Amino acid sequence: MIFDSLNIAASSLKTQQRALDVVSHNIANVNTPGYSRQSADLATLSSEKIAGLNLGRGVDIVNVRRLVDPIINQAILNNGSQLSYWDTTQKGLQAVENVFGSLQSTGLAAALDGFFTSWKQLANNPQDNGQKVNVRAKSSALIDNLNNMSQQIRSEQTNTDANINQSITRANQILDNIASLTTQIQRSEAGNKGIVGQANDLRDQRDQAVRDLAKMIPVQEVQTSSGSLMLQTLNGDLLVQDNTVRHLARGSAGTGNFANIVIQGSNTTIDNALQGGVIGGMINLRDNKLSSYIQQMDSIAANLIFSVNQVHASGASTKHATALTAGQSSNAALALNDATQTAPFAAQIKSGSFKLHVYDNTGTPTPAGGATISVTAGVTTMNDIATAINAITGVSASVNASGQLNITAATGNTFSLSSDSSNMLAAYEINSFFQGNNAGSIALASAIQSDAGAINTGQVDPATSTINLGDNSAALAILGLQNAALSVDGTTTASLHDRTTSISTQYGTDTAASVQQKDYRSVESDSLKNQRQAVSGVNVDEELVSMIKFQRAYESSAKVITTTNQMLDSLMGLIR
Amino acid sequence: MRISTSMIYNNLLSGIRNQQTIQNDGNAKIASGTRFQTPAQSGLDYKVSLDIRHAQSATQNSIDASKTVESRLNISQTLLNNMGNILKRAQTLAVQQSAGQLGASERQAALQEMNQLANQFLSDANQTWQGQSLFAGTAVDKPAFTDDGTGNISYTGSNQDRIVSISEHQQVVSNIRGDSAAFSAAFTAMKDFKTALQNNNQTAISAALGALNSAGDGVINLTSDAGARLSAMQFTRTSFEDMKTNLAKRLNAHEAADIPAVVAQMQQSSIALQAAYNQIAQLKSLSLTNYLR
Repeated sequence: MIFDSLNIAASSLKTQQRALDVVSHNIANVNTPGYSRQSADLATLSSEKIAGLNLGRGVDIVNVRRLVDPIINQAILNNGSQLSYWDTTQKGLQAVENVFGSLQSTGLAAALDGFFTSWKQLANNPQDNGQKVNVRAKSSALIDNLNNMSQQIRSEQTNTDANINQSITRANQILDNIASLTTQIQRSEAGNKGIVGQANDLRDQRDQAVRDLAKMIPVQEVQTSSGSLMLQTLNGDLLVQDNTVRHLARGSAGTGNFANIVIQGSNTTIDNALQGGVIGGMINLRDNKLSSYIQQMDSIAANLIFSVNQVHASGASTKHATALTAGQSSNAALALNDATQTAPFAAQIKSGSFKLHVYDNTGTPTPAGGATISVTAGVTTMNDIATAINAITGVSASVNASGQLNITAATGNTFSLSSDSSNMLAAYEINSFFQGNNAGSIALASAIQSDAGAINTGQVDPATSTINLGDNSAALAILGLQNAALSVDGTTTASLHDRTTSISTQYGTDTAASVQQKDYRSVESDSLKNQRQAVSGVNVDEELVSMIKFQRAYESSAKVITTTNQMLDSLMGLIR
Repeated sequence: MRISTSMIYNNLLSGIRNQQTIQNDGNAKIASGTRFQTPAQSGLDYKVSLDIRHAQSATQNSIDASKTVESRLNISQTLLNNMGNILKRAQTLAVQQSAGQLGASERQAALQEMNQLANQFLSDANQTWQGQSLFAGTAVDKPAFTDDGTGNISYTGSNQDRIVSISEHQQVVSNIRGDSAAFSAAFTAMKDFKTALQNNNQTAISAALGALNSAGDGVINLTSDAGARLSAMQFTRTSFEDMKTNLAKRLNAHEAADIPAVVAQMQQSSIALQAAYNQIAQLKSLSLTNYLR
């Protein structure tokens, strides 16, 4: 019977030692991300019936349990996806903050005001070449602003798309890791009954990997007690089942010519299932936010370019032209406004006419009143225009190999254009102020770049072909565009100033929404982390108390052994 | 709720981050003096700022344009005044020379003066300002009037006015055009008077007196017109200057940070931050570890 005491005490020593191991493991992992505290489940060993008495046989550890709450874990997955989504969106928006200016330098709005102010100053002093130089400088500043904004946002859009590839690679690594951990868990837990003997640390690592994956893409998770795991996208597309992995990949071109995201081996996009996570945030940033800003900036530029060119192309200065070349190419055999014409504003051409005034070497119009060239929408071709101009004495026209119209005055002659009611001159950038059709391509007409004197401030009198140095009618008409409601591109009619402030406002509200959502999700994340910590977190004080508890039990058991040993000594002494 | 060791540190750290954000925002507001700086901080407020600045730019442009009009009208008025004085002197001469007791020699002497006056009148009518012909309409690079050599003076400017855009809805004529009837009447009256003096023709001198009086009235009317437009322009400019002041006030009220409120908030935040730092320093001693020696 004495030996039973020794055996019981021995079981206690072993059990307390193992329980202390669990405590030590908990303390060691107090700062390990994803670690769930573990608890040693102690139980009495089966009793032994001796002489009608049930006598205990000691203690043993029946299981080492990790303490987790699956509901909180699921909530953390959802929160992680949303937090990453808004964090990515907010950081992406922050990256282009400087594009939208600040109160110190209001960027596009100030550049646009500066542009129209320069036109006002020119309109009030059209004879002053210095004012034309000023208009050219302010126009260049506006163009630089639009170009830079466009370039920076497009660059951010391209970078975001490239970052999606990196995130896909990272997500695929996590998927591989999850499958590998699942295999290890299944091997480790093979033959186990129920939850006893679970591979706690491997399960923690897998849970953490799934949480990391949820930060990349939103997922649905199904776990079983046998260690199996199935992960799906929100659409139900399988990502991982046990050791089977389906990687993410880039597919064919989708929105904005950026490649869709697909499950490798499939052509079906899963973009619509990516309403969360870093990748979803980047898609939102690329396709919704940045794309919208680019579209709005392009619209500002398109309205500015075509509206100014409409006026400028029908304008003139006292310095008449000797040659003009269209900035846009055409298919000379097709109608000027044919849908296949590459000139971006060809669709704006309507039936109408423009005038061409020829002047001899003394500046006398020949004849006064010029010649009218008619344009019939859907019928007139660039070849027709060249033919009509060639019929005018003192000037000739041709369409070059690129499809550009060239108008050349005969030696000693000059010419001017006026009264274009067809939009043909503006659409093909003849006698224009701007070139290009969007924020990225807008530029000053090359003639103006090389000579500010080519800026038209007035208009040739269509009846007499004369123009005065102080004529500011074209400048006033361009000035009138500042607050005019415009829409040459099918967008909602609005002034250029309103469009400019709208884009800043939209950026501001987008940022505010992303910050608000991120803050909300951060608070939610903190709360969920606290809830998880409340269940799974290690409290060092608790562990130290457990340590003392087990240490004392260990000491007591050792004392039982010492006492039993003394008892045995006493017994042996009887024999001696 | 069960508390884990990490929770204690994480909660304090989260609090410190929040207080540091408040401190950082407060510092930015104090440094800039504004409630916000970028559209990211307040999209709608930023838009209002852009709108006010847009209005400020337009107002300043209107003031500048008003000054341009005022300058042109002012110099035109001065010259018209001068031309009016010339015509007054011509009228005086005409009154004197219409007396029957004067002879050819006196009238030849008066003719000399009249020639000078006519030349001065033509010179004034062709006056340029900043290199621009004042009375030639938009043909600013040309003289407004030319003499054909026989004393016939004709208008060679344009029939287009020099329009100045004051604001989006206000365009004004900034010039007095030489093809106004008053100019031709003045030139004709002076020419007729000179001819009458040359011919020692008392009847024609008397007739010229009437024409000179009428031309003088015409020039006075033009001067009054310039003066009235100048005065109206000055009123317009004053109203734009008032608007400029109001816009500056509005912008300041809209953008300016409430510094005392910011400082108070930062002070509160500073106390919370210090408490959090202090608590973190205390945490290490608030552990059972310290008692298990």
